[in-house]
Amino acid sequence: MSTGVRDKVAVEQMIYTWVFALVNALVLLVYAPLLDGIGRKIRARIQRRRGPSILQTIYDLRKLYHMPGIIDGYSGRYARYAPALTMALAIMAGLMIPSFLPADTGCDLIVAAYLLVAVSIALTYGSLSMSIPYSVAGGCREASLMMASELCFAGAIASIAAAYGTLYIAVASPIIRLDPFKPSMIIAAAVLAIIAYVEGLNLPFEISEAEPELAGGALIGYGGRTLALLMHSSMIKETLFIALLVDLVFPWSILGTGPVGLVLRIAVFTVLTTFIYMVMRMIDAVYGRYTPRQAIRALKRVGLASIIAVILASIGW
Amino acid sequence: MIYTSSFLLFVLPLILSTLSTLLLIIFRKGALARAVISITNSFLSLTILVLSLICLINNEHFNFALSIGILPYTHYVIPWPLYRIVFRIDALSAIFLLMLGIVALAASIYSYSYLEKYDKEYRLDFFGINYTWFITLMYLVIVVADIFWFLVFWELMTLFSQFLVSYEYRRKKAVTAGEKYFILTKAFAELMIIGAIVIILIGASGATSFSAISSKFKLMLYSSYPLAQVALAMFFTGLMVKAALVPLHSWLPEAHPEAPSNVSALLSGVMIKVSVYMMFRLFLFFSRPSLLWGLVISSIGTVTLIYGTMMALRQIDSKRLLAYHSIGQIGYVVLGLGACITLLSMSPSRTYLAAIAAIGALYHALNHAIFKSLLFLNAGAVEFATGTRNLNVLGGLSKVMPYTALTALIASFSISGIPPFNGFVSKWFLYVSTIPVKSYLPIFGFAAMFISSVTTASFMKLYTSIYGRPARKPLNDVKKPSFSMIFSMAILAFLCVLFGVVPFVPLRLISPAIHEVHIVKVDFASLIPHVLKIAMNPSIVIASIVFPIFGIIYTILIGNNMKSIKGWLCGRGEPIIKAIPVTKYYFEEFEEVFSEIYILSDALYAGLQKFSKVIGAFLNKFTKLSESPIYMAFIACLIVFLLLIIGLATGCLPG
Repeated sequence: MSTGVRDKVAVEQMIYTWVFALVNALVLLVYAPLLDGIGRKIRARIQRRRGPSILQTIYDLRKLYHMPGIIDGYSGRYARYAPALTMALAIMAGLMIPSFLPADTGCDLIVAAYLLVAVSIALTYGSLSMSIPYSVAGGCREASLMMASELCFAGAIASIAAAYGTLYIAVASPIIRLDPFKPSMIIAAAVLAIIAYVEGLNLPFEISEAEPELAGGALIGYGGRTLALLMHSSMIKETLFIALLVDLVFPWSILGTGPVGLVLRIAVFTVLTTFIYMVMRMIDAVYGRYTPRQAIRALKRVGLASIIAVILASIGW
Repeated sequence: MIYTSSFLLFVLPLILSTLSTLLLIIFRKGALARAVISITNSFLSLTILVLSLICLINNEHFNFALSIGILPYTHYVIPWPLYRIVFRIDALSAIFLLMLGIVALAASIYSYSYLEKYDKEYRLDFFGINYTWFITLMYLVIVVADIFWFLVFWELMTLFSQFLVSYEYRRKKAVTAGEKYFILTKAFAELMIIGAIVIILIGASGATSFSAISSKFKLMLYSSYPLAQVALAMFFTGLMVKAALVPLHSWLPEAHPEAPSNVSALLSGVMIKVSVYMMFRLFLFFSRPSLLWGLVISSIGTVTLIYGTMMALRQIDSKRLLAYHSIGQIGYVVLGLGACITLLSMSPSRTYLAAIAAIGALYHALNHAIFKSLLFLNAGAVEFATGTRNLNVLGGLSKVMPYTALTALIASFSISGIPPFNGFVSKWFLYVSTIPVKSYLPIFGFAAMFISSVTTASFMKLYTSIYGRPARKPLNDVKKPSFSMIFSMAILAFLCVLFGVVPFVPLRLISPAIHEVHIVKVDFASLIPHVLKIAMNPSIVIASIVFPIFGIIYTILIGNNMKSIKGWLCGRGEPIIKAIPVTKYYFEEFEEVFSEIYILSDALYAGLQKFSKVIGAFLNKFTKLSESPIYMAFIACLIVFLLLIIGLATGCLPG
């Protein structure tokens, strides 16, 4: 192949990649609130209520987006920018992490982890800049939970990378696929699932909502479209954690390539993420809330398991 | 003529230091003294910066005009009445000169207004002379290529920095911190001197130049392995103290906060890195990479990064918090060095990965120099404005000091490793070189990654308690920072963004340094595809997408449509959060659940206290003994006897 042809192919590939990534991010903007709606319905049905329509979250967000942004008047300056920054980072994560379409943006596990955590960080800086105690308490809890869950997340990433000698999430021909016959990979997959659950702020880990009977915890200082942006970003982040788990666990190469492979991937990805989300919501519906200490302690135990996974992976198990 | 021009550039810092000293003898007080300190040191720093850039850019392209003459391996030999000093500016030293140049330039510009607070109470001429010579001695330590003169400049650097730490001599804490710093670093420098003597006399047959030691000491590793290892260990211990590596770190959290903020920026930003510079020389240039040293260094790095960062989480004094983070971040740098040594000693196939680890370590050292000095300058601006460093008292400053708040936010994001700021890229290099490897390194990489989230939380606390939540006392009498202070902080903040968004610029400068320490000739163009194979550096992609999306969302959805509502105050006249000190919330639960680390830290501290008491008692006894001539004669005989045995054992003396 001549250099000109090779360049043309590379440019074509790059265009495909970023078109796919854009489609992924745009679909996530709708799919994430839709999943939340499904979650609300499931919780209602388990509690023997009729519950809202599965489109209710989308309606709620639409309503909030039509309202002007509201912010606590005593807050620091950063709080004004937090909603837009949080959403920008969530969209960025949506572009980089492969989801519906196999967008091979060259994302590695470190980038994925840092982008997903950055969404929480941008939000928490905003919450902690408020004058409202509930917001600050919620922000502190969100940060504590982030540190504890990062212990587990780092362990899962380190064990996967040590086992496969790479951090690269290649989509077309997966280098990393969690091997069900390796103890370290079984632990890593379980830890990733727990992290996806925790980061989705499902019960019993929903501790950042300091006093939800009274207010919205970390988000209490916001209203209108600023609140919509923050809620929407959190939903996207939660969906992306599940997407990352699905990316690493499912053997995508068996679906083949070409248009049929693409359609199959979209179908499998949608079914798997929805299924995992539904299971999470079912667990969420039957649990009470942990106190912050209990939640962090539980994650510390998971973190210790992930350390064992790292040790096992580094010796080839 | 051409040689002379480069030589002039090389000696210009010394000329400027002398000029500054002379001017400060004339202008001793007030605005003139401040102007002399700021202007002469800015030029001094600028000279260092230009010198380093000329060297680095030339080295990278290999088309540097020899006419300028500043090339690696270029030796400047100055005739000296007693000895000769050999200086060398190669790519490795140039990287550290770059750090020194950037930080010293920003700190010197900042100094003009910042030093105003010392106008009446303290002597500015004393500060200025020490400050100038501290910068100059750091420069000399980095450029000297002779181990004897390295030690001389090293000791002088310690002395001048100690004067600066204790500059506010009316405060007892500052004096005690200075004493502790001096005693600890001086005591362990003795070990370094003994190590150096063994290296010079036995390893290098009396030669003191770096190049001679590099070729001869490796032979000693074959002939007298145990003695060579002891010499390395002694030298390394001396370097450990200055780099504040655990367990020899205890001086740093006392000394850095007590120094004036422009000095803290230099201490944290550059001085602790000077040790890292020598560690690179010691383990990669003088010695051969060994798995044992790789394990020791990466373990120490990991323990240091965990300890420093976890301790920082508990602090409520802004500068003390930053000082603990300096310990934590130097741990990352040392982990990178340890990983590099480990990978080099494992197999030749891992040389590229070792190069990436070394680049990660140097890149993080450079980034840390930038963001930590910025954070210290921020803390200084806040102290200058409010008169306090206590996070329990501060708050709401983002409305009064918006530019300081913005630069502090950039620095906080950078040190936390949030993409696309510079800390993310260098941490990413460290993870890429430590995690996907079948050895003990993934465990260290994992610890580093977890601790990064603790760093993030710690800076959330620092930033939001100073600039975010409402202040606990009225902000009416806040003194706004001057243009020179804001300008110096803006330079550093710009570099945090630039070195994150365009990592190719610092990478291009750093990659030749790897060759200097005998790792491999890493061609920049060939290195990047190799890194891309392992993973992709997405900094530019992230920056070029996140910033525009943020702008679009903010403009369209928020902009001027934001309603600011003063909410319910729970029946009080002011926000209730004002009544709650920082210590009452933030990460109390996390600290409680992860209390094991703090218990271990406290035990370590208690152990060190006990150790220092034992040493103190021993020294007291020795002092008493030294008054008796018989004992002293006995000790002298003992030393001679020991030297004879060492000489005979190592073959330096005829049997």
